[in-house]
Amino acid sequence: MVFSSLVFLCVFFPLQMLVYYLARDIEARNTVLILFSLVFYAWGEPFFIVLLVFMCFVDWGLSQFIYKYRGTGKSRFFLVLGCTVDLGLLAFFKYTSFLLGETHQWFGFPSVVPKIALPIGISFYTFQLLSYMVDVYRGEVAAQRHFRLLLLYVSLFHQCIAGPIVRYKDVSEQILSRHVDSQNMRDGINRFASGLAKKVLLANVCGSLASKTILSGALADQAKNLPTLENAAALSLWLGCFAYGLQIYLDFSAYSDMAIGMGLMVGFHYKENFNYPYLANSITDFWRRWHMSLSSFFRDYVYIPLGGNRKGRLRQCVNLLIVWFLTGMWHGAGWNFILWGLYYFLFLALEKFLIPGLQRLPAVFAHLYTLVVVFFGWVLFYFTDFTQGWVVLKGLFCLNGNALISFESRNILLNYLFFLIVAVIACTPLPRMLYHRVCSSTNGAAIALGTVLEWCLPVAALVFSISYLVGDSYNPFLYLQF
Amino acid sequence: MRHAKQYRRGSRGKAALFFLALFAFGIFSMLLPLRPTQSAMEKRELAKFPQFSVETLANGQYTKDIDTWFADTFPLRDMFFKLNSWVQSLYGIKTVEIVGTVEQGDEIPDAPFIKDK
Repeated sequence: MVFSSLVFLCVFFPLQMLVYYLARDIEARNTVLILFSLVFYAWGEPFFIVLLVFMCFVDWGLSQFIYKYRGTGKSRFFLVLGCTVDLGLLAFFKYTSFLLGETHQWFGFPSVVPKIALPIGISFYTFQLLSYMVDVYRGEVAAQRHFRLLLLYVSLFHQCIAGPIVRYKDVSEQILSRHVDSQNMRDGINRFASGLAKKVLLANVCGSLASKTILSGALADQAKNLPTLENAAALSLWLGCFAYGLQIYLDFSAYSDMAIGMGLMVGFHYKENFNYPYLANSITDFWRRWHMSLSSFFRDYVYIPLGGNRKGRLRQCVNLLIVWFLTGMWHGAGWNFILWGLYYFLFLALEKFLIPGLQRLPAVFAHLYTLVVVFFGWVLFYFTDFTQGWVVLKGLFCLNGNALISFESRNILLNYLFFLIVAVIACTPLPRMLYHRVCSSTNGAAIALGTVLEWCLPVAALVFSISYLVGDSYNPFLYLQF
Repeated sequence: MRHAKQYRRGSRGKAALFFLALFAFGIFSMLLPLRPTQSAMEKRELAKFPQFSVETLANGQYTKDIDTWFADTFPLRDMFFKLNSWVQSLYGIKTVEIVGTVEQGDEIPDAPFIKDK
């Protein structure tokens, strides 16, 4: 199930909130959350729910030993065993088809490449389990004695399939005791409703515009797509790539907003996952603002244990390379994702070692440089088929012999002009600033307006999102490849 | 103190309104007699509730089909369609609307084509 589906909005979510608040104590409330989370996951993955419960059970068992023997070699042994099981399963489900596809292409072996289905959210919940076991090993948190409470942490539908990657130590106390006051509920409703509107009313439309102009980008569609892409006007390709850049931010951050909002409504406080990344003034800054839970995971569990910046420049550079190779791989089993990770490694290394002055550029140039790098990064990310990606890259600069502007591209721009302006504004803190300004004003008219906005905007977001979901079938789930 | 009380009361009212709307949509969507079976606007028969089978349940098709049925036969769907169309009309300046993927058409001949006699 996904948050932006009508079954979720009209049945699952209201029912979950009703049953949750009818339950009297924390034990019963946790049971409600576990049951609803399992139904949520099983709705989309009826078979792979077994895998999620199995991985959680294995890690729960191993974590008891990791904790019991903490400070000894046995603890390390159980940690390595747990990590091997988790990463082995992740590698099997996510990368086997890709690797065998490569060996088939180069060596003709195996003769038939098996297609292995990717369980939804496996990258997210595997990383959550890894962080739990490592934190237990490090003594930062005690092992959870009750399996069902670890299952609640791993399967909690707020963050299980699309993040943020919540650390066990951040919610371990909230699992046992949590309280929701009116401020939490108010903030939760605001975050959930704004996330819903961002996903349904903005991200989906951006996605539809991108797929209309730069098509699917998939290898399977190469023959069908290439003639269209080769002849597409540059303006149309710029619009498509731009719309995809907007979609991926709005979609991903919207999911995090909804997760944070729903968490607040039941007393969980998840950390922020995005901080207006398109306002970054360097690539280093961009990755401090983009998918922060993933960046901090790699920092704390890979980069620093490898030595971070404490073992000389060369070693730091190698550590960064490993981290960005893994970051690329985490996003999908494909060369374009790996290259996308290495592309960011290049710019981060450039900023860190070769041209540290890049970060001190005047603000306008710094933003422009960052946006250009990120823009072309998304082009690389989008096209799993390099041939189509290369054609689009050339087409952006009219190098395919294509026109700069055509009748269609001009019309597409005009058809979506106001929408694109709104979508760009939604990527900035401007709407939030304006909203807070109106709501916190002491002026009589502003108080009235603020109250109306405060009460009506979440309901309006719900009504318009439902009308979109009824009236439009384009509702992609971007995280299937993650 | 008074401001804090008002704020709390405001927050409760807001939560009450939001959940009222959420539950209203929930109940409304479950009123099966209100669910249409045909769309006059689109001139087509709408999705039917899927037949249960263990196989479709196991491979996820059953729940996927329920999602499709739920969205396709949503009560007052034509009204929601109109609301969505109105929102879409605000996206930009409507000159000629491009619907679907723009593909290269047949080449326009630059000379008259003469059939062999």
